[in-house]
Amino acid sequence: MSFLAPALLIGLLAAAIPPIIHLIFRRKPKVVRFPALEFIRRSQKKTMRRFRMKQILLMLVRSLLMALVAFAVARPFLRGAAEPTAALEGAQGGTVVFVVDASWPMAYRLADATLLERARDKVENLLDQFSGQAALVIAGDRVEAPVGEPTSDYAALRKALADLTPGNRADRLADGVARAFDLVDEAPPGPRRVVVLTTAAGAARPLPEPPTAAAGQPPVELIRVDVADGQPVPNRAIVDVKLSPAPQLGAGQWRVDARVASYADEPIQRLPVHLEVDGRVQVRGFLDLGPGQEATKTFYTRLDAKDATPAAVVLEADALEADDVRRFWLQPAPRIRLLAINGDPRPTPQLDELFFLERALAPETAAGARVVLTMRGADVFEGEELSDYDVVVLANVGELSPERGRALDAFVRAGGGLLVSMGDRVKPSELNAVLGSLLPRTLRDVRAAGDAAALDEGGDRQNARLSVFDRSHPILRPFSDPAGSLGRARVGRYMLLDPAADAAGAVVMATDDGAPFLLTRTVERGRVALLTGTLDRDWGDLPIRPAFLPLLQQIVRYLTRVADMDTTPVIVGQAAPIPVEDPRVRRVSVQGPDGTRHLVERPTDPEAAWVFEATEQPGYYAVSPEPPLPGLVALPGFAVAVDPTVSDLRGPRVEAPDTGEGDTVRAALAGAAKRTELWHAALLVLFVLLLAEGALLFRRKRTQAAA
Amino acid sequence: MARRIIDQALLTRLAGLNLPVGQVVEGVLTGMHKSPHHGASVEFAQHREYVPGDEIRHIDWKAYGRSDRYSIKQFEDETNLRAYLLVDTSGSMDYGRRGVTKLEYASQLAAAMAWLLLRQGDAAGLMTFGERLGHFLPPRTRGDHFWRIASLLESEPVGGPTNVVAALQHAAEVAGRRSLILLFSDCLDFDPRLAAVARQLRRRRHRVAVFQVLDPDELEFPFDELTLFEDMETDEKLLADPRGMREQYLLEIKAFCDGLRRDLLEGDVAYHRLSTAEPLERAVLRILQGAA
Repeated sequence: MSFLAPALLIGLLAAAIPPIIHLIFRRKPKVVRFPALEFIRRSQKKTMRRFRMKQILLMLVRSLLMALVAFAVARPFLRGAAEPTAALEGAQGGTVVFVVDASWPMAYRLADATLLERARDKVENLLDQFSGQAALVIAGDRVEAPVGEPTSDYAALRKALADLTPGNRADRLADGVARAFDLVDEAPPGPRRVVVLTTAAGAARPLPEPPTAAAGQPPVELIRVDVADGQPVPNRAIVDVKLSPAPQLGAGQWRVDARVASYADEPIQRLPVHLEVDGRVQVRGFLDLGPGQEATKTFYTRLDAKDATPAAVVLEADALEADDVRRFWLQPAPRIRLLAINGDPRPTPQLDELFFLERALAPETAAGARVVLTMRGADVFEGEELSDYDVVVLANVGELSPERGRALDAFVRAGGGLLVSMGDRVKPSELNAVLGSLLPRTLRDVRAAGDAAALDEGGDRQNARLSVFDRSHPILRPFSDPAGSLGRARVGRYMLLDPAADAAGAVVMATDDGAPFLLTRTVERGRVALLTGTLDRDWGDLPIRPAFLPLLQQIVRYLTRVADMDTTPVIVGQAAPIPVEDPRVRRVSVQGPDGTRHLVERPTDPEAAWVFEATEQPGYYAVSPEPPLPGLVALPGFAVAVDPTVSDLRGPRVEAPDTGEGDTVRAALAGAAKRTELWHAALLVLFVLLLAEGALLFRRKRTQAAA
Repeated sequence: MARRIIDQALLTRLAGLNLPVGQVVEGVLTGMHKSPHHGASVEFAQHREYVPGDEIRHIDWKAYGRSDRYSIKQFEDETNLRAYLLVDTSGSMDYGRRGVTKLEYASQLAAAMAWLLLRQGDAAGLMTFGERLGHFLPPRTRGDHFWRIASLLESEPVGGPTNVVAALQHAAEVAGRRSLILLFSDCLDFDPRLAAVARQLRRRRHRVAVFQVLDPDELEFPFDELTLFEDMETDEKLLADPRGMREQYLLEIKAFCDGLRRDLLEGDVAYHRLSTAEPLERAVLRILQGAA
């Protein structure tokens, strides 16, 4: 048993007050000559022992009352038998290395102190009671041993402890323990211990095994201490944020899905959560969270800015604020220059080959990309400079000159996108000859859907339906149910392709006949998509289906390599990729949250990606070419977040049985949890004693009254 | 110092009363004491002054003619009741924190009884006793015998232990024929033979009445503080805290008195318990009315 205020135990002397009062004020007996002494003698025999017992009991109760008040005021508490650091208290000699977890979760504020402050207090308390060699390892953003070798100069350790601040990483504890083992391994003979002060969850994580002790040496003891002493450490965190275009809500609309987790045993009702864009709160909302559950809060926002804008989802602050915010950049939609070649222009707009494509890629409907559409007739295609465009669409184009074919080949290989759609004007042999190096398969001829009999019968049976979908393909990824949306489209005719075992392309969609309907192929840095149907209603009704719009947008985004905004967080300490496409850029400048600028040189390997290593702080990182280039002032930035996987500070459930190392950990944690304050119990006993004293007095008074 | 036991006012009030021996000794209302020769014996004893309450027919009119004063004629009646008043003068009877000691109270009561007996022509004698026999005044019917009794009661020394049984046995020896034996004591000698001896007296056709005189302190035990109790007869000392034992004490004394009463009544011996806190006149009236 220990006391929070042991000095107050001096009050225990008050227990002597009742006997002292008794002795001081002890009365001298009055002398009475009395005739009926025999009755007194008889009565005394029967009652005196009981009466004396009662008197002694009363005095004991009063003494106990006084002592209990002092006892309760001294705030006693019991440490469980398995108190991890019990062996250290009062230990003489030996070596101990304290490993203090200074990761970001240690900033958790429990009552009036952070976990890190509690860890510091614990180390200082243990140092007070320990006399031997001690060392300190701090596992924060890096592993440090401020004093170096174990020493008996505790002042240096205390000074290092005073400067402790939580870091931003949470992956150094194992390294810290390994460092502690190194330190303790060279210590002189005697008991050797490594005490790890961390969260309950940290104490339960796998740590390096102690080194094997030399012959005759006691093994190194690894003691894990939950600095929260088993007290609940409820926390909540944003574990993920996803951005996706929301074209159904209009141009420039984005959907933000924030996944919030509760690591508490109590439900949370109406947790305030809001979306900030450029430092201003845009949308506020609430979220209900069950105990230990996750929930997703969805926001919609519109981005009109042409530059990347910092944004964040923010939870109402709790005891650990670092994981209550998730920052990300809202990137403006990239501009896609698209050249559409109309192989079958018609005066009636609805019948025009590009009527539906034009509407599907109109700026007001496109989300996540700003498409600049240029439409040309097949006859003027020959004169177009392809390098002015990002994507070329050949819609029902019958034939191409070999020069154009070579130009397209070069365009694609340089990173351009090409979409080829079929139609009555397409001459498969011509296209095969000119675009053979780009097309995923060789075109054979046009085929009416259904078998011959069905064709004769006419009617709906001749239509094929789209039934095979590669859901993992980036084009189809946004479709939650492609069979339900795209599968409704009917295909009357399509271009048959030669089966090719070594075909380079991938089939994205196919009809129920088994014929490929949409194929993609990557040719060096460029991409090609082949639609075996038409972009108008000549061969099927896909263009009038609602799913056509997102399908076409996805195809264009795929061809230009514009993916959904990548909101995957860069965790503190991890390398952040920098998307630099412009070949002119030789060096970029990365500005961190604290304003520090870092320069990143172009990788020597042309295939290697640009990465930024020094992600030491959570926050926004802005990237700009160094020096600035004409037309390219800023590059997409990135945001760095603390590791949300360690937001759950709770340890394993103590009652859950386990085997192996987990048992030791659980025992240690259970021991920490067993620390119970006793002053409540002392007050309860005090109350009971007061009642007992009252009862004793009442009995005596009643006896006197009866007499 | 001599005790003052004669309360003239009381005696005056008692003058008109007869002592119904049957009630006194039997404790029941069986009617007036009927003496076959009441007040009309053949042998003249003395004159005494008339007091209100005396029967008119007992006035000696001749004497009135001579002296012009009302006198009552009294005769020695050899066949009348002989009463022996046994008064305990042991040390324990000297207790009395509230003015009157048990001995004073017992003496006053005995004197009142003697007064009544003598007033109605019965012979009254006195025997004092402690551990041994004290003084003895044989029963006489003469009016002045009362003053001898009173004088002895006032001057009798007090102290020493008690031997009630010896006193009763002695009374049995001296009382030759059917007599009335009135014992005034606190009966605190705890001799288990007391009831047996009393019954023995009763078998010899004596009428026996026991007047147990107790102090209120003995009956209530009103002590609170730690007390060194000193025995009044043996000087034995006993330190006790009355708070813790009062309940038991009261049970003990009640059991003792009840046991004594039961034993005596079973032996056809009358028993009266008296507290010195009770006014003597009321006690006498209560006894005369036959209440225990």
